[in-house]
Amino acid sequence: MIEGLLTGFWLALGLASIELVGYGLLLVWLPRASNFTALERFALGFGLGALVLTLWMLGLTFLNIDFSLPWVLGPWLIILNPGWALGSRRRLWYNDLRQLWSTGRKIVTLGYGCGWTWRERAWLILLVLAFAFALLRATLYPLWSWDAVTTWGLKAKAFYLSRAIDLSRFEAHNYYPNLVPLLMTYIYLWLGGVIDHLVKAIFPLWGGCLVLMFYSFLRRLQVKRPEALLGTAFLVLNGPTLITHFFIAYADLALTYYTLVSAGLLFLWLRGQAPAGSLILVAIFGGGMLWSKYEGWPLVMINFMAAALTLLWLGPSDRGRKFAALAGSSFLTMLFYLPWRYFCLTHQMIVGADHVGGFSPAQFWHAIIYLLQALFWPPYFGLFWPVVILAGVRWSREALYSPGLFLVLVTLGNLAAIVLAYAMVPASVAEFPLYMRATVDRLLLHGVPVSGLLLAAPLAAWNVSLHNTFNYYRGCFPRQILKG
Amino acid sequence: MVGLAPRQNPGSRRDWLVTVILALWLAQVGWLSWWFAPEGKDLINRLLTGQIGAAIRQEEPFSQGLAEVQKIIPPAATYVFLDRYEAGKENKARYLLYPRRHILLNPQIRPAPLFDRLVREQAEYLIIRDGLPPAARYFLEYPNHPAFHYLMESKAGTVYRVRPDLLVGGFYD
Repeated sequence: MIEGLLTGFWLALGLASIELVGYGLLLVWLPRASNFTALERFALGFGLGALVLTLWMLGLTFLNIDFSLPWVLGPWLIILNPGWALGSRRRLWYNDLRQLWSTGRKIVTLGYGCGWTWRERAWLILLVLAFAFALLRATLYPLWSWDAVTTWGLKAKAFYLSRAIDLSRFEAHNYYPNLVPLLMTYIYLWLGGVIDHLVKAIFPLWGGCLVLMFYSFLRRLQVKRPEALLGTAFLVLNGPTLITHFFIAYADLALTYYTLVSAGLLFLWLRGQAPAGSLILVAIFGGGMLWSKYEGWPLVMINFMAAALTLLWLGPSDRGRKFAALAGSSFLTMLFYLPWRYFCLTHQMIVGADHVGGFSPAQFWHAIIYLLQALFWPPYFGLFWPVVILAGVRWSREALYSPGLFLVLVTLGNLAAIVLAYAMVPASVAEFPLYMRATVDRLLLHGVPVSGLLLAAPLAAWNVSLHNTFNYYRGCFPRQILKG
Repeated sequence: MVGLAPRQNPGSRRDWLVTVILALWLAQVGWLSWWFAPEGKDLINRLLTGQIGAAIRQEEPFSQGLAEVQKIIPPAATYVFLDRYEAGKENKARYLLYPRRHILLNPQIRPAPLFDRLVREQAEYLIIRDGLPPAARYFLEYPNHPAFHYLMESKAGTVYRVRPDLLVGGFYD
């Protein structure tokens, strides 16, 4: 009993340390003018902490230093010493703690006594139930899902036992980026062993951060609290795919989270609504996309290309400055890939050979048909894609003359990239349909929350007396974006 | 499409499309709870009985077998596992038996390539989950074959100790 409690304590401390590192860095790095809310800093902090800790673990491998808590966490605690770095922002984190406490209390009490309507409470109850299920499903069961056992969990176990990135004793897509296995290794260091059911607590927590960011983006896009809660529940409770990823220890959830943050902040930046320092976060979280999964590469490129095309099409008067800022951000993102690329080169690892072959027209057409089926097949994403497509088509005219174009381009770009990837995958005629069936929901998942932001317009317009939706889109954009 | 347009006078008229979408979505939420119901039921049972974590894995015969195999193969050893990848068993073996080095080969492999691989990889153990073709079986089960020594029949498969140094010569078949 006491041993179990102690293990739970170390697990909580390990997860809290990831949050602490990321949150602390956000406080130190972000300009004072930055108006991220406490909830956003919390949700961003976990992703940032996971990214820097695991990249640092890669650095330790380069330095031939074995993984241990003092080496992995120690330097960050020194940098974020409360007497120095965090001390200078004492008031900020004190206020954040108070706000988080208040939000946490509202969630725990399901909004009772806070003046919430029954509808708001209903959406909140649905979300709380989903997360309670995911948390228990994650932490009570050992690793069992295919890729968790074959790739991510195996690597985490190997890294923990060898205290380094040691890929010498197996072949499991060794060139794949290692954010998730290294983060699991980090938790194993706290737990003192390979306890592969508790380590999965990472995933519902990460899912929670993703959902908080989605909710925050909706709120920033002028969606009121009841509709934002509805939109968030609509995202989570639509088909079993997203909920399943909250507990199966795949890297797809991490990629989905980083994609949402990077693209969401880019969208706010295009609208002129992004908090100060957002473009740097776009780059850093873009780096998280690259470090989460091999599929992060095309998604990062789609994000930046969609932003560039949107700027080009809208032609704001300060487009030169904006293009330069975007180029700088994309360059910074690419830097995050270099350490792992260098590792692959020095270890003679061939990248992508098992996923990229020649272009097959037959597979291309087959992929288009299957993808269309997958978008409308309820056991994948429920009503999510039909409703998003409906919203996209309804507001296509408005989107064409506003930064909303970015979301449309990102959505179409993601779908096109999936089709192209399937057209190039080296697979036999017999195994190709099986391959698609096994992977299409995951590939679609990466773009789901970003595309879900297309629902901001109908949700914002729901109970607000705006003149029309075009005004909704236009109202908060800098004038120069709309017409130079 | 009209239904998704903003209301000019909030609450004054019902938005039929939004209502239809919401109703469909709520029905879908009901379907989703039905989808996860078996998992939820199992979860509640486990919470009540305290049968969680590693104990769940030990309910599975294959994992029980691997736990037995784990005791006889040293961590630094290399073993060849004969199985089909699609069966979804060898990945569990690789995960649970790590850090033992794992080499997967098709169970239909002919004797010559099998022996060649055992020599090249210096594999000291062989686990057969599925049946081998008679020719390979003959070599492995030949009572006096010096390179193979039958160890055990576990729920994970048949385990042999291999002496790759005794598998000499070119392999032809």
